[in-house]
Amino acid sequence: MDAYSFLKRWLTTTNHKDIGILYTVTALYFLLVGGSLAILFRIQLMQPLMDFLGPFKFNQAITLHGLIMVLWAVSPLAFGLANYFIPLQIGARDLAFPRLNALSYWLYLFSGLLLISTVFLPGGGPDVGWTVYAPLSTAKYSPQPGVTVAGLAIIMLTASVTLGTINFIVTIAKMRAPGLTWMKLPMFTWGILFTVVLMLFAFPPLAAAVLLLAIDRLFAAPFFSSPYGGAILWGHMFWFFGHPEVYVVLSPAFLLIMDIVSTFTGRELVGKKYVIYSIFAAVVLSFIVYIHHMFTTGINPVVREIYSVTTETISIPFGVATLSIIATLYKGRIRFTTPMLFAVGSVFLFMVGGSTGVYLSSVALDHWFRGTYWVVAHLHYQLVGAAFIGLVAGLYYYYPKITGRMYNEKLGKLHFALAFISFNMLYFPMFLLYDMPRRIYTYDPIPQWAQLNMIATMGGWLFGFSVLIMLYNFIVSLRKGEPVGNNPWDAKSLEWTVPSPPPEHNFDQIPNLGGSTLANGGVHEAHEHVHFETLTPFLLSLGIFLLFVGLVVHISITIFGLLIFLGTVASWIHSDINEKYVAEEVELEAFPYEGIPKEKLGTWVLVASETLLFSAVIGAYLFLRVRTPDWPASYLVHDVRIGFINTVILLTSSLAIALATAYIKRGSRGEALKALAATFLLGLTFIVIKAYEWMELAAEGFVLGENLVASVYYVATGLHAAHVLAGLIVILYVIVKLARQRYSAEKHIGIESAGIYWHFVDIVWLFLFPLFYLI
Amino acid sequence: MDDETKYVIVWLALVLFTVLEIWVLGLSVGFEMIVLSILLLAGAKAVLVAGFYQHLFYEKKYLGTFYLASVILIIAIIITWTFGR
Repeated sequence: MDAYSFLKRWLTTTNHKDIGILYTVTALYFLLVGGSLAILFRIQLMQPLMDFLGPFKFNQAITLHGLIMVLWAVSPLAFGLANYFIPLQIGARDLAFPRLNALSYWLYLFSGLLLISTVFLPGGGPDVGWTVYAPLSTAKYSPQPGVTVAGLAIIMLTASVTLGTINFIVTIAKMRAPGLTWMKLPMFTWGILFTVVLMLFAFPPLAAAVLLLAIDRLFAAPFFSSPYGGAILWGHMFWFFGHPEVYVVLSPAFLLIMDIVSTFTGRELVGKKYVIYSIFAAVVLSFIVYIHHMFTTGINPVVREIYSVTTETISIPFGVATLSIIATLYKGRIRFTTPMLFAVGSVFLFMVGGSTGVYLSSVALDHWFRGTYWVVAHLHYQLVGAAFIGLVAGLYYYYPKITGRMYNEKLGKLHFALAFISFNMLYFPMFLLYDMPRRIYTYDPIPQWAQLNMIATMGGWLFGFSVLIMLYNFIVSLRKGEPVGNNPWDAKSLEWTVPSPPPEHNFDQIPNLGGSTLANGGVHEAHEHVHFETLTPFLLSLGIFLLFVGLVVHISITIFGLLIFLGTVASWIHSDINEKYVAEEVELEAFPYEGIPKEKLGTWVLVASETLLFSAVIGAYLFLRVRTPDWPASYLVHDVRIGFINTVILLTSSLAIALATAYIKRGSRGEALKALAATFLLGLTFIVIKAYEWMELAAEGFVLGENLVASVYYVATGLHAAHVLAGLIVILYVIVKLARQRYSAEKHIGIESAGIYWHFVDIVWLFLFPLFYLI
Repeated sequence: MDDETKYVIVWLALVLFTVLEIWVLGLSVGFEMIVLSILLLAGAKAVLVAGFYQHLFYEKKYLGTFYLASVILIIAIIITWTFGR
């Protein structure tokens, strides 16, 4: 393959297996970057009073290490495997929206590059810790643009994650092979489903928090620098994301391990149904435990007690899952292959990490452990020991399926031995450093601290080296590994019924598993697989990347990026309107969403995510309002008449698009077109009135950054206006499609989905109106 | 009743509720009662839009699962953030 063909293939692919490989390779690259940073700051901490990095570089190194590893390395590594194997595990030919899947990947890659690029900016990269605590992260204490750009990178990543969550939820809900009921799904598919649900609800509040922080920094809007709880507000917004994120990182690996254990013991997972229920319970609980990260902030003692109980409770479902793995091992015919060794090792490390976390759920003990190396040890046992090592098990497990060749087993076992020993050398001493503060760049010559830090640093080097053994093994085995058949492990799930590597279309015929076990069912009707190549996801992401880079480098780069972005969006819409790209329409096992088009389900999932985004902003507003003295009633600040007129306009636009849907359903294209045009004009009128209102307010000195009242008003109504504008673009798009007779009484999902989104924008305003104009 | 008529009746109810919100603002019943009443009216309007215009009253019950889950989380967020001090 020449260079052009190589580039064309990888830049334009929308095939889930290609995207899976891209995710995996990119995640490993970010893992090496994050790991290298860890090696650097471990050298700094190796001995007391070291002068290797110095305080500023140390702070940058730990910040970038934390952000990269949590957001850009471990979790995306899981999604590399998920992209490759979820369609194969459920008997599908691809994800529900292949082009959006490619866009997810390119947004992810460029967001990571944007983050790393901050080190080249004046003042360097972010140095505020991965938790980005306020007020340290505000412009007063961290004025360098690197912090703002890192925030933009996180917002870009959130867009990638949101698209990914929609894609996986719709795929798993709607595209399972006939007969593949929920309880027959492999545990890895369950793990990804739980993970994307967590991401769906956890990431929007993070995006809201980062958006507020960016505005705080750029416009001196005192959200997090407010003396009336600004720092606490950041804690709430960040940890509402931050704690579920632990399970986002953990769940795919933890449930993948269950499949691996099942394969290498030759037994079904014991109590599979109860494990699924337990993990579901953990997903729900994960949103109501985050306050334990804020026990030492002085918040309400009753709230602390409640969250102490919920935090302790979450250990129960994970206890059930762990017991299930142990019970599966018991009396199993265990084969200690490399993936099995990593899987069992991961479970052991998870138990150590989990049990040491219980201490942190106690308010009293947390006062001692908070901010010490105990916390560092605990979280690394979970995120590295359980999650990363679990994913390494997955990489070895699936390597033969992806490449068609077996890795070198001796090197694999050497990797395991070295990784397991060095991991414990690296992190176990940190439990014993429970009296040493974390985030300090050096320390006085205290003998015990010095010895333990030295052991940890040696462990870090060995652990890093062990990863290189794996990479060497994988690269060499690509050419020299023994060829393997369909099912080298004698595993039971669908991906092992196809050749290694799988053909581009996965299955010659869609499997039918009705009434059979998971493996090798009969066949369902055949469908022609449509493969589509496009450069638009790559260009769109590149445009956003340049747009953001230009903001801090040179405006011409921003303009160039904007032109690429707009041109690509236009090209995307043009190809859609002309229906150049039609994704495969296959209605398969879809309980409980039978008969619901995947576009409609996807729109509902998007709306749920957007609901959380707005609720986080509204929650921040209420938080600040109830704490800030002398906050004026809204009707004294804003013109109620303007708010009322705009409310009626939006309500009327909702009526118009609801009527458009009703008209098209009965085949009246002309009436539907008129109703959609009315919706568009009403939405535009809303925007014009809003712009007029902002100009009037600005003329009176009521501007963004003037005070908290003005800032929160502009952010909430501005975010809403941006959604109205996005909605208008969507409506314009369906108007053009309708005018070109692309919709009919039978085929109208585009109009219906646009309506669902538009009504959502209306509902948000129904709350903004009373909150910002009346009370 | 056909869909079009139903949608117009819902619109009339939504406008009426909006007028009621402004009317409540002028009542002498205490600020807390005013806030509660207005937010209840806003909630009722949201239910009408979601139920009739977004068709949730007529769809499969599971379609609104994600929406419902997000609403529950919103309530949890607002209670914890607003009163957890």
